[in-house]
Amino acid sequence: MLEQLLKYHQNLLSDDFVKGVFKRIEKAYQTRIMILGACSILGMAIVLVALNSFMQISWYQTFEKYLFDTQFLVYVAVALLLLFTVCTRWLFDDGEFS
Amino acid sequence: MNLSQKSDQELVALAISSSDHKAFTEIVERYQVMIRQFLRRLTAGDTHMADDLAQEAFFLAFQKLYTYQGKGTLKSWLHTIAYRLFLKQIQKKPLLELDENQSILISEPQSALEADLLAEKLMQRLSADERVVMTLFMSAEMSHSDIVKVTNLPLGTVKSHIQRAKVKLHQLIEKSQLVA
Repeated sequence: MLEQLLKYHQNLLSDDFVKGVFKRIEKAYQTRIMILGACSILGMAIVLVALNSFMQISWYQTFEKYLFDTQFLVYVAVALLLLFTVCTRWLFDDGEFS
Repeated sequence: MNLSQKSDQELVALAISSSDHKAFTEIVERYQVMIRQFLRRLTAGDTHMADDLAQEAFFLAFQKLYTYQGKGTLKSWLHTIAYRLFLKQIQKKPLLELDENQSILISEPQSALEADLLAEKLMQRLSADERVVMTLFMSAEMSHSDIVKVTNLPLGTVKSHIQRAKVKLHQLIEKSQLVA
């Protein structure tokens, strides 16, 4: 009798339950993206400040002539943008969510 | 690809290697009844807490799926996660355990819902350890060795908890008035 009483009786299959699980997973993923994003922005800010300081000391003076060369600046800007895009893609593409 | 025909190990491998969630959805669908019922018995019918813990258990399973090495069954692994979450929960909010000497009115269940409610009512008379081993043994139909893996209790303790819980429940049923 005890076995009969204690066995599972209801079939608690529910789509809402499954949706709830994936909602939690997605929320955790969004939180992680926000943390990674904030860390990336902070990191970039630190790099920019460091570069700026470095430029003021010697780099700027050494390569001053290049700074006024528009074509050179365009190449540098494109290269930096490409590097930033590749790094961002690498950082966020962990294959968990497509 | 028919996922319902895949074994647990194949589903875990697919869930880890593929970027879509179909394999993990299949795991949740396959085990949600068992884990939700397990936690309902442990919480003695607190359905809100039980479902919340069950969702958290599957969420943790998703995060830690890569650590599953296939040494035990997926069923045991999921029960272990659920049980640990339950232990954490009762540290925050201790369980309400009713006096085992007090008789209860047991009526013949007319539906599956009533039968589960009655089983949950009976669980209120057992300690947390007794609820866990009794549910794993009688409801989830696990072997003693699997129960040891899930609860991390020594085999002798598991057997004595089962025995003690059986005696308690038999006495309770004998003392109670069975209404047909």
